[in-house]
Parts: sequence; C-alpha cells; structure tokens
Amino acid sequence: MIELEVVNNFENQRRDNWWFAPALMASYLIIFGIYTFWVILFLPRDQAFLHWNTSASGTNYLSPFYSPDIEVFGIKPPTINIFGFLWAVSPAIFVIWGPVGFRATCYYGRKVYYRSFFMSPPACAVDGLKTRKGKYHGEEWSVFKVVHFHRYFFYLAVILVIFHWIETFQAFQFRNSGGGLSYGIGLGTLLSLTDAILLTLYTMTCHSFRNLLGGTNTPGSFRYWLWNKISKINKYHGNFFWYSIVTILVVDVYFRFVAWGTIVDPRWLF
Amino acid sequence: MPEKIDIYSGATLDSKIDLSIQRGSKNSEVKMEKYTVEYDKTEVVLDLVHRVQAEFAPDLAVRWNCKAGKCGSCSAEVNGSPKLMCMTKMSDYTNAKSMEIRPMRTFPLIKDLVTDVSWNFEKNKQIKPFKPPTGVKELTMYQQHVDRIQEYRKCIECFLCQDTCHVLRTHEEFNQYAGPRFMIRLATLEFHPEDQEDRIGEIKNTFGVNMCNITKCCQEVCPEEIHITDNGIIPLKERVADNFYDPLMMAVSWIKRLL
Repeated sequence: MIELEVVNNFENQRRDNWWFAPALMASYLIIFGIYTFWVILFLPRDQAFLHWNTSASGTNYLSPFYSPDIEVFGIKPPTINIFGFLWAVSPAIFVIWGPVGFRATCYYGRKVYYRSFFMSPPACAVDGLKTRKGKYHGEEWSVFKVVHFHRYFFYLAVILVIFHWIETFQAFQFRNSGGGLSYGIGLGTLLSLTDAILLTLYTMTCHSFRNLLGGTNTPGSFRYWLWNKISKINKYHGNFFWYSIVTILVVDVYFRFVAWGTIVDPRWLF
Repeated sequence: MPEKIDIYSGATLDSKIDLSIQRGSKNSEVKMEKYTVEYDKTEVVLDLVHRVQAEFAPDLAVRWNCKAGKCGSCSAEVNGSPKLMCMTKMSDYTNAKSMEIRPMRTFPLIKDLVTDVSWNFEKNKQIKPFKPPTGVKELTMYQQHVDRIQEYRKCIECFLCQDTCHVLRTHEEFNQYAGPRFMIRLATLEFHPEDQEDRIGEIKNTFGVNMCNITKCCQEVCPEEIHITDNGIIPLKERVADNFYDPLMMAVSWIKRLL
C-alpha cells in the first residue's frame, strides 16, 4: 500500500505579509483577464481601430489588443449567427494567442502564476495548497511541457513587436482640419510609444533570447557583446513584464474613451 | 544607572527581546523555549543566540564558525524565513518584541538548531568532475568566461536554497531533484568552455532540472546574492530544451554531428 502524506495548507512560520505580493499579482491578472475576455468577445472592434480617415477623432491609433491589424493580411473577421444573435467576431481573437502564449511560457510569468494561482509555493518557505507526496512533477508534466517551447513564442513576439512599432509610427498621423493627412503627436501617440518601448524591452530581455545568443562565445564577437548587454538588463525582465502588461490596459482603455468621445485626445500637429 | 555592557563584544545592551528558539532533538520532544535577551541594535541574531547559550542554556546546540557570512554554517529560519543568523541584523527588527528561531525544516533534525545536511554531500558525489580536453597541456580561457563562472563559485554551501526550495521542502522529492545548490554546481561545469563532459542528459534525468518551476525562492534567500535561477537554472533548462524539446535545435545538432 502506498502511503500518501498530506501536506498542510500554507504551513509556515513567517511573520511578514508573505501573502501580499502573490495576492496583488493575482488580483491584477484576474482584472486583466476579465477585461481581456470582455474586449475580445463583446466589444465592437471599431472602438479600438481609430483610423484617421474613418474615425471622428481623426487619429490613427490601434489598440495593442488588436495588433497586428489582421485586415492587412486580408483576413476579415466573420459575423456568426448564434441562435438569432449576431456575433461579430473580434479580430483580437486571431492575434491574442501570440502574446498570451509568450507571457504564459515566460520564465518570469511562470514564477508569477505558479506562486499566485497554483500556490506552488505561494511564497518562500510557505507550503502550497494541500498536495499529496509523490504527485509533484514540476515542469515535466502533461500540457505544462509547452513551456519548453518558449523560444517559439519569443520568435513570434519579435514579429508582433515589429508590427507594434509600425503601428506606433502610424499613430503619428492625424486628419487635419482640411480633411488631409498631417503628422503630429497626440497623447495616444505617446502612450502607444511607451507601450512599444516597454514591450520591446520585455521581449528582448527574454531568457530564451539570452540562451540563443550563447554566453560561451568569443569575447569581442557581436554575439558575445549582445549576450553581455542582454544579460545586464535581463534582471529587469520581471519589471518589464509588469510595466508592459499595465500599459497595454491603459492604452486600450484610453483609446476606447477617445473612440466614445469621452476624452478629446490632446494633440500637437506639425 | 550605568549602561550594561557585553564583556566580550563591548555592545551596549539597551534593548530587550523575547527570543523563542526551537529546542529538542530527534530522540526527544521538540518545543519552542522562550528567553528574554538583552541586546544592542548593532548586533546580529547569532550574537543573541550566543548570549542565550552563555546566560540561560549552555546545552543549546548551534552550528557556527566564521560569523562573517562566508562559512555557511549558521543557517536557520528566523521568523520563518531562511537566513544566515550571522548576517541577520537586529536593526532590521527594531520594533519587534519577539523573534522565533528554528532549524532548517528541510533536513533531518539533530539537536536544537543543528540539522543533518549530509544528503547534500552525497548528492554532490553524483556529479561528474570537470573533464579537460585530451592532449592539451595548458588550458586557456577568456577572463569574461571566468567571470561568468565565478558568480556560481561564490556559493558557501549554507544550503538555504535547498531549505527553501519547495520541491525538497514541501514535496520531499530528494531522489528526483538535486536542488538549486547542485544546479549551480552543474552550471559551473556545463558553462565551462573547456569542459568535455556531456551532462545535459543527466541534468534532465538524474538531477531533475525540470522539477524546478522557477519560483525563484532560492535566488531570494541566497546570502551570496547568486542569481541561481536567472543565471544558473534557466540557462540549464534552455540547454535541456535545446536537446530534448526543440525540433529545430535537435535537427541542427544532428546535422552538425553528420558533418
């Protein structure tokens, strides 16, 4: 007979507020997750595509949830009839799996959800949820093996970041009073630019990219130089994870307010 | 009233704290004993444990040696957090009225604050030593490569990372996973540009690198501030992914072998 030892829930002797950081992270990710579902399932797409020639605001902004704009590739999201209810499929559904996959397999992201959601462990020297001895398999278990393919999500993320930059440059375009195209800077442009910079930093500090570059290459070579630089900023990978996941939400909310006309986007045209 | 001075250290004993220390051995009852100890704010936790030993409990067992954070002997759990007692300053607990000190939970208790960490030394023996290239009289390597490995060699073997690692602490997978300390030792060898030993298979199967789910507690508690997870375990996991999961990298290495 196999004896199954039950481990106590959250057994620990810590006297500090060890639960605070995982609770805060879980709270934000739950809010972000609910918002994302709401965005990709229910919100009309034209709120996030503020093309200069069609939108009332005269901006050329694109929410990061819809980046890259799949219509560029000739894909038109269908409208599905579900028992008489017409559901216009959001283009976000076609692209969201890329960034979600990158973050879900990210080495820092894994730390966050293993601690905040799986409670494995919730904090250092704190036992997790009730588990049975011998049932822990780490990252060699079932579908969790997908985390070992993080590098492929990194390759995809690099492509997504390039599109993000293209869209950021497009955000410098506005419709002027004559109805023509002008270049300028709006608050949305600056938000989009901040988001692009943070997403670039988050992507380029990736541990898989660091491994791809090596570390045992000849010092003096470009690969070694880049590995060295990436290694120095790699320690901030977690910071960029959070900064960028916050800016995505801020940018999307701001663009929706501009689309609804609640906020008039302040801008300076050249 | 004249100030009370510690006759050995000269510390001004102007503060008081209730120090609860786990007492008992594997053959006796284990309980927390409370001692009210006077201390100076400039002292460290080990000073207070020594004062308990000098004034109240001469039979208190505690392992220590250098009192400078370099020998890795005085590992314990201060208020539930794995720490070196000699590097835990009382100035970080200025408002605390009480403090709890326990031995490392992951390893078998011998007596009071002393645990049996011999499992680590047995695990260490399983790691194959450095294998230099054959036919080379003198090894040369770049300083930058030495610097990278030097971070791992700062390890003082206090085993706080092993104590806090939930794979060993909670799940007790001592046969499946070697623990963060030995991942760092393996990284030292694996990232040595002149090491000829093929270790990746063992790192995955024998030492169980993928039992680690990178929650980075080992890195948080390391008194030598070694980036155990970021610079040691994750690069090893990536090399395991190169060899066992990534079809593109597997194809590249297969072609390289053919050429």
